[in-house]
Amino acid sequence: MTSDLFRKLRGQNRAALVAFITCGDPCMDFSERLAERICGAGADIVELGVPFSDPMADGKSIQASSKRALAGGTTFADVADMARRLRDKGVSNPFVLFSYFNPVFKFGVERAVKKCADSKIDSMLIVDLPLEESAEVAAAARPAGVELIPMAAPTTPLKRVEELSKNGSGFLYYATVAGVTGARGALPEGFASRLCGVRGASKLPVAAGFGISTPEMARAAAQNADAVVVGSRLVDLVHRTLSEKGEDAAINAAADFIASLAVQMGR
Amino acid sequence: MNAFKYTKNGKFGVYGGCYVSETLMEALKELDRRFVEAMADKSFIGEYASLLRDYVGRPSSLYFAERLTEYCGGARIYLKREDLNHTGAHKINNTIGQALLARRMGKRRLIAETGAGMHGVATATVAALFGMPCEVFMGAEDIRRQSQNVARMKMLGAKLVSVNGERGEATLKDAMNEALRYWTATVDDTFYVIGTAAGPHPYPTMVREFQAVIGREAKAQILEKCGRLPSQVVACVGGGSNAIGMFEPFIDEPSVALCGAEAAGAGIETGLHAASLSAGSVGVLHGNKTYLLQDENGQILNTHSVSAGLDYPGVGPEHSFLKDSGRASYTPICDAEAVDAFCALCRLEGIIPALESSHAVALAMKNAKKLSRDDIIVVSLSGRGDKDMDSVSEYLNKRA
Repeated sequence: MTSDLFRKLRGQNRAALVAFITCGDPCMDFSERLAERICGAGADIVELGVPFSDPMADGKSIQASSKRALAGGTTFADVADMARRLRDKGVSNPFVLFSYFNPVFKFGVERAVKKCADSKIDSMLIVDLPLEESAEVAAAARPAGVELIPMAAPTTPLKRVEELSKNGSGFLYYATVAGVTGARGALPEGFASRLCGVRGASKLPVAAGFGISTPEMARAAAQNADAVVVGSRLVDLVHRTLSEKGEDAAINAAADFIASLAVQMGR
Repeated sequence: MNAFKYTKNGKFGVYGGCYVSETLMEALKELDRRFVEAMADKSFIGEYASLLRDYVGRPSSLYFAERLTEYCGGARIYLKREDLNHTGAHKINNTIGQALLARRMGKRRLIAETGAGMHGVATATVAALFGMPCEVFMGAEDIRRQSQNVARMKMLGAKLVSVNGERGEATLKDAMNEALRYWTATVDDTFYVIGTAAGPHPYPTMVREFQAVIGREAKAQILEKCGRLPSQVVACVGGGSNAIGMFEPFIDEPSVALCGAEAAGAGIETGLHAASLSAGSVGVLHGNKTYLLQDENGQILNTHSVSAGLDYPGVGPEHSFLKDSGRASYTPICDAEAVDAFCALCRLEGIIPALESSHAVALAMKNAKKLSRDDIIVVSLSGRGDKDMDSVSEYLNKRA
């Protein structure tokens, strides 16, 4: 459970490092190796991205990786099965299944939640399922012991942040910018004070994501958040290295990058 | 609210809703609030009505297509001439309403997605009228096949954003993805003018209300001309904005059949089509739950239609509801039938219809043959076909 992890990290005065990967980019075997390695390199939590044909909340990097993953036919079930194999290998880091709603809906909400629970996936985050539409998933997730991670944004009033955190579990994912995912050059203006407000309002630990792409940005984010998410930059780095230098080099590059971020998580 | 209107969270039965990322939620809630408030404000309604009258040229005529009727040899066919509106289609009814709302909400600029380009032109037009900057998102394939509308949008001062596909050819779906992404980043000062009766709540309801003028006028006009309600009203359905506008005032008239024509492309059996109601399954895309063309893993499929405006894998959620409840029926019309109807209307009536509207004409012609002279069919002729001359020639050359 992510709650145990956050308790432990609080004792160490560290933020959690959350790494996002698009599963199946370019194939499931590679993603499995990648996930295992970045867990060893310092990622505290791994977000396992389920590719979707129409990723409306994502920028160019994750759009492109989703397309590559779908070219290989990756499905929701493939992602859950991969999580299960990683568990069998002894990887114990919390996993967040990260998806758009339609692949989950088409699989069947109850069946999908059960599949996550059986695969020892700790949490689900469904990008296009706001609180108002989440009752069915929440009702299935609670008895199955699967956390449902809520999202908040710069446009979310603090009163709603509180409400979201009360209805969710695990942690609250705060998108630091209004916009789509994608590496950015700097943290947005007023980042620290806004995050302070969000943390004050949230009953759950707060993870800061969207745009964080360098150790410097990760360090600044770690000062103000309970967790720091890196996604697009990692996805890009892996893809670029993979196409230029092959699988082993790509996995090494990812591990080095994650290690360089992990050392910035202390406060 | 009667049984067919939305209740909580913009649901039509199980369809509709508001499936978007959290960033957009406050903006959509505010839009819902301000829309309901505006519709109850006499000055807003008055300004909307006067623009429809003086700027768009409403009411559009209801025309008895006598030669087409004779040709089919059955029911009398009346055409609701939305093609005669300013900008050449029904789309302007909605863009005027939404632009007025944008201005009332203090939004600085407009964005829109477009397929055939008619909604893009209608949005660029109102942006010029209200002095607002405007960006239109359009799929690369549609830019190619609707070049005349591209030129019109540019001439009107809109900025055109070419969108490449997620997989394969880029059409309306991809344009809508990109417009939604752009809106997520600019939601503070930007109003997203959605052109079809789909998208997250409150768009399906808002678009229906702004398009219902089609059905209200048609109902009054047919009562005046014939002293009775029609046996059927017929409209094409892509996202379904002209259809829902035409159907709305007839939903509570059980004697009137509501008939939608979907794009069957090369034929349902070929898999190359855009008939989400006839051949799709329920899913969630672009903020609403509705019938979609998708694979067994919930990935959205590419669509195919000779008409860019119907080339969309989803459909407005109220149509999904009307289908399930049995109140409306939806019939697939293939490219060949639509082009034949296009040619028939040109030659018999001297009217060049949009390829989208030609699907409705084709269905009306089929249905008319099964009915008698005592029956009346009212067809929504949603747009004119000047934009489609290249597509039709290309199609006819290929077929020849």
